[in-house]
Amino acid sequence: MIRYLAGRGIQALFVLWAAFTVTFVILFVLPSDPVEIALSQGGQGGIASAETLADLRAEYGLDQPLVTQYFSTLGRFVTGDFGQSIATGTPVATSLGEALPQTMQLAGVAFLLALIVGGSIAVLASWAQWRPAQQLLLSIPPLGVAIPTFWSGLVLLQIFSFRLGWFPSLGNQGWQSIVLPAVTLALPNAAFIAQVLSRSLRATLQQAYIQTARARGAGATRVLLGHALRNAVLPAVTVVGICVGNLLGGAVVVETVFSRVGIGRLTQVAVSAQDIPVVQALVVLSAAIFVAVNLLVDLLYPLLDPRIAHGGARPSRVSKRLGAVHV
Amino acid sequence: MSDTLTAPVDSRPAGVAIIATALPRVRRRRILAGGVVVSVLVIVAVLGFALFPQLFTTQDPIDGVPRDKLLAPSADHWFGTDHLGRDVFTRVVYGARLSLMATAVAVVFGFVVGTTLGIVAGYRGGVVDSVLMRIVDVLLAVPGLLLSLTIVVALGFGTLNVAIAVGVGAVASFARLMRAEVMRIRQSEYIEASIAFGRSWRGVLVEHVVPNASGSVLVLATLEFGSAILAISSLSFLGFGAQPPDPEWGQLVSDGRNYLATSWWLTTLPGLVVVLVVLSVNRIGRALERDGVRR
Repeated sequence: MIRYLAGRGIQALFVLWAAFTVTFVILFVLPSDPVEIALSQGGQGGIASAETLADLRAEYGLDQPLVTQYFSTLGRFVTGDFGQSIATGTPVATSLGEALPQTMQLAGVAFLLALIVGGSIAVLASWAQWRPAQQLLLSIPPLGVAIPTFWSGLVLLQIFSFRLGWFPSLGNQGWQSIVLPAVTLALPNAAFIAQVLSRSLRATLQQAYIQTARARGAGATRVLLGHALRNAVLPAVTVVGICVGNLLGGAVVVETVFSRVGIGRLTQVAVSAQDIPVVQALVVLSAAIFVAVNLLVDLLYPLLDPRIAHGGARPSRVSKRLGAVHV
Repeated sequence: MSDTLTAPVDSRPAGVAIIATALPRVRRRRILAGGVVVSVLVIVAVLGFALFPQLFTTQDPIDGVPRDKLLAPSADHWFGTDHLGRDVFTRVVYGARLSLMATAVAVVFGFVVGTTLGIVAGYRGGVVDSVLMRIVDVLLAVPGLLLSLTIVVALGFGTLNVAIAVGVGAVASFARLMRAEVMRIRQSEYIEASIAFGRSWRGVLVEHVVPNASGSVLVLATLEFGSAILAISSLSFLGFGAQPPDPEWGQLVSDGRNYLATSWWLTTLPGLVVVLVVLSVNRIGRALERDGVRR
């Protein structure tokens, strides 16, 4: 078990390192000069003299050879120093510290909503005996997946903020301000969860033990909630990681639409200003969150499903064999 | 997602399997057909927008009539007019070209790079396979939109750059699918036979592997087309794609943001077109998947 944990941990660190390297290559090797880009974006490109540029480059360590830059940046990231914004000069860690809790809150509420709505749609669609109702429920998720987040956000704003005045249209103040952004962010994820779970439920309901339960006289509701759901949820757990990726990406759009403080808005601003240090820190941070969640899911999975144990955790031969397959 | 694309292995005796799958399929097809026909019509119409915009509208997408600014939808202006008096429907029609071209570039980029990586990985195996697939894992470890944004920062703004950025995001799924297909086909007996008969690997690849894999890759390409439209319009909405005054769908919605409280049509109607197109593309993709392009 410990060996498995260590192995997964090292693998996660490797992916994280690779994500850092890939973003470094994309951001620092491809464009010619981050300082020049950042200044020209700010509209001062013409004014800055060659000397100013050289000074700025030296200040950010951009006059060093790429290899030196790579290792010094990597070293700084490892110690939690994400450098500072070229556009504003603020340390990236400070901006992240302000923005991260806001986005976590938003993403957390959105994920919970998506879980409840998506789960309910999937369960209701499997439970419904009447075919048209079932068809109707099953047609919701494909629709949800096809709606762009920026559009659903704007439509909700129009109706609930401007027309009805129920919720504020922007900002982070109070619980009312989180409702519309969270609903917007939840929509595509709810649709995704509903799709995965209803597919998984359909497969589970065809298994022999479900037939046994039916033969023993269990009603449709009992079979669904008491027997099928528990098993059908397991494969669906593995897509939590994908949801987290969707939430992080979606936050960029949603926080822009609702003018909320957060990681997503920070990303949008940094990309607009082509502020390379900030963009890299944000991408590596997202990759870290994504990798951590996937690691957690992998580690929790055997606790949820005792049939899958990691090599060495259980002495029985069967579980060992299954563990080997899983690892 | 690639696991949903592999056909289930049917262990039932051949006769039973044929009857069991044929019967509901006929019935299902009739139900499906309605939706698929509408979807195809939507796509044909939008392709028409992109190729021959003049056939669909007589108004000008760039120069408006200032007197007619911010008019609500009517018989003259189906989608209303914007703050410069430009007909929004006309802008949607002309915007189809940029939006669809960018989407096509993205999908073709993802397809070419992804399948090439997949074929090389699946065919070479060993170290090459491990290295390539680890790279793909890393691409998947960064949320798609953020990966695209990183590339946009490096390449700069504009429709083509956004298209390439979205294409890089699609590389991973094409590579994984293609690798799985190559590995699957490699292990079949007739491939062994044709190698035993002295066919070169390249010959086998062109003659057997590619045609066999094309079905599931086509399904993936269709579904990727839908998500690429969403990704590109999102990036344009954020202001990184087409620069004004060229119309593009995401950017049209973004333009309407300032008039959200007064002129609902500026954001709602162009966005609805995006929804309709993505829905149709996905519908067609799913129909292809279900009816088994690969038999």
